[in-house]
Amino acid sequence: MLIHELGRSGGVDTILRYARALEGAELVVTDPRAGALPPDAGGVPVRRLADAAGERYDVAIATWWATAVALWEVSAARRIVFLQSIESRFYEERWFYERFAAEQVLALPVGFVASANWMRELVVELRPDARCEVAGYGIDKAVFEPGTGGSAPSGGPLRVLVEGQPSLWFKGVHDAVAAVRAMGEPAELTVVASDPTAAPGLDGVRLTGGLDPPAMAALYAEHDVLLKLSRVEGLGLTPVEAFHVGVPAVVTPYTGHEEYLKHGRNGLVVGYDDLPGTARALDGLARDRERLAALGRGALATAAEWPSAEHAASRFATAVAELAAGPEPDAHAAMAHLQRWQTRWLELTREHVRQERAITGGLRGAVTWHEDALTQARDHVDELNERLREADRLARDLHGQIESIKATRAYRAAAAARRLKPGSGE
Amino acid sequence: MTARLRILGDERALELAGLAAPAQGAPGGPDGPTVHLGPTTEPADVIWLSTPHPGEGRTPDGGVTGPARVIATGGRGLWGRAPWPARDELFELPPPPAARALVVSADPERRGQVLEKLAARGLPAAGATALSAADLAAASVVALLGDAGAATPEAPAAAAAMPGEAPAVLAARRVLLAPRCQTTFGLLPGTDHLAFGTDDDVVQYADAVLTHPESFAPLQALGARTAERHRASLVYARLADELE
Repeated sequence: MLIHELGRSGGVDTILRYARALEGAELVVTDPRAGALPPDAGGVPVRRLADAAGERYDVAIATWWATAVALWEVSAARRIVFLQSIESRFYEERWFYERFAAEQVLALPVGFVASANWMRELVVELRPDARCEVAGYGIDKAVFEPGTGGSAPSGGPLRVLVEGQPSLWFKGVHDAVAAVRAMGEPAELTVVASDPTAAPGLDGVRLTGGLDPPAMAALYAEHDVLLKLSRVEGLGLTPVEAFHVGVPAVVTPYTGHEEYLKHGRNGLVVGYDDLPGTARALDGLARDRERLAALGRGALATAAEWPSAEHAASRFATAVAELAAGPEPDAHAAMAHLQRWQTRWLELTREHVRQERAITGGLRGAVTWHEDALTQARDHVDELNERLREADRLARDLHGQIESIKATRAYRAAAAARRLKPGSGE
Repeated sequence: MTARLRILGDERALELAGLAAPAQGAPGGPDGPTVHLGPTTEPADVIWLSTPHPGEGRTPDGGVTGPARVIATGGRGLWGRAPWPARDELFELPPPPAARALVVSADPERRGQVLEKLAARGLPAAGATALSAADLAAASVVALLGDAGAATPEAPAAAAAMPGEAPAVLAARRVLLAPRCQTTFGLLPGTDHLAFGTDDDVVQYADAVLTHPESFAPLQALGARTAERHRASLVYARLADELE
């Protein structure tokens, strides 16, 4: 499996678990800047891409768009892209080139394994020639279970747990914090992030993070509700983890939520950017503890049906085996899609450049205006300095004339006469 | 027992954001809470505007909202903030008979200028003061001019919100051109629609879509997924649940 780096994240954990389910799997790190690598990760051998040159693999699996380029740098009988999300959606509008590069994986002559049904439907629509299997995500049932710690639902302030990395725009963490702060009912807020040190703009918020799965399970159990207002997700697994602990969720309708969240049964769906609606939903749960408890029971019922981590890994292994045993991807069809999409990328790149030029032109105009204004101001200062110098010269001339007058006999006589005049005060 | 909603409004509003037939859990019974799409002076439990709310107690056409709950794309004192839902039938709208742009703006001068520029390039286009289902059916790319400012990808407009009819366009799998704005209601610029800062951007984008329509399939497919978040039957079911 081609992996960009070995960091701690839900995505990497999933890749490791799925790699362990494949017989003879290796992790090949594609990032050439990766530092020292361990000989294995969770029992799966690790090597660099450069060190995989002489190997012959049955299947090469890209796990992130940036690793897809390496699919053809290793020798493999079949090539697969594992979609944990439609990754072009991670990039805001300004990340123009990255978005196109990420979209490109959907046009490759490969088989696809998707982690959610909606992604499979999208691939089938866009690439009817390609095969796509669904592996899904599982939960470690031994870790995430009811009664893993914490306290029972309280009658006090609503204990709200917001999950997401605040520095990632699409996680909606700041929206969630704003919604809790807009509540009318008392609430206690905790934000849990993968990297709590990168959490700007959350002053006064209880922030935690970098937790392992048992610590996450305990954290869920300390709260009444999970609040997740993401804008982009592949599936968004944390509400499912919370369900296993008996904690319902309030979520935006991000892609993937429909696979587990049933509005009014195990949680609530609120609209994007709907601050008053979200605060009202939380207030409703704070006031109606019976409903909150009912949603918690619904969460447990959903959890009972959810596949285990082992089951999902097994599904992944089956999907890979089926794609490997099936017909080769249709390279001609893939190329046709790639060509069509490249036309759009070309046209939009042209337009992007035009817009950037227009902006640059506007900035140049502004710079020219300010330069002209500066030149005029300098000229004015020069003129004022010249007048100042002229005034100084006049003052000096006048001073000289006054001193000359003072030196005359007539002036001195007049001054002496004034001193002698009665009432002059001298 | 879930409340049943009565969705009211003019024909244009109902065709874009209404609900055709009672569906499980939500829709139109004679005794349920009323939702009025667009401004009204009639009594309603919820008034849902497709525009920003101009102020408490007032509607864009000078009407009075009274004590009703107001949902709008922006403004103060809102009960909810959202665009109009996308009527379910729009998701099944067939492709347009021919490639054509639709330019929507209440400002006739601005609309006319964009149409002139499109005509100068020999591109088929029509204009409308407001989006309608019939115009939507005939178009392959729809520009909701809205309140476009001089926003850039690096500095999006601070106050503008996505036009309320945007989900309807995405549901119909038409390419959406919308102003670059801060509040998008889950729409992703560059991914499921194209965001513009100036009217010249609109002309360039429309030209690209009309010239190479098949290359925009990913944008349309992702746009339809985004529109699902605003599907009328789902949105009204949640609203009915809350009004119960």
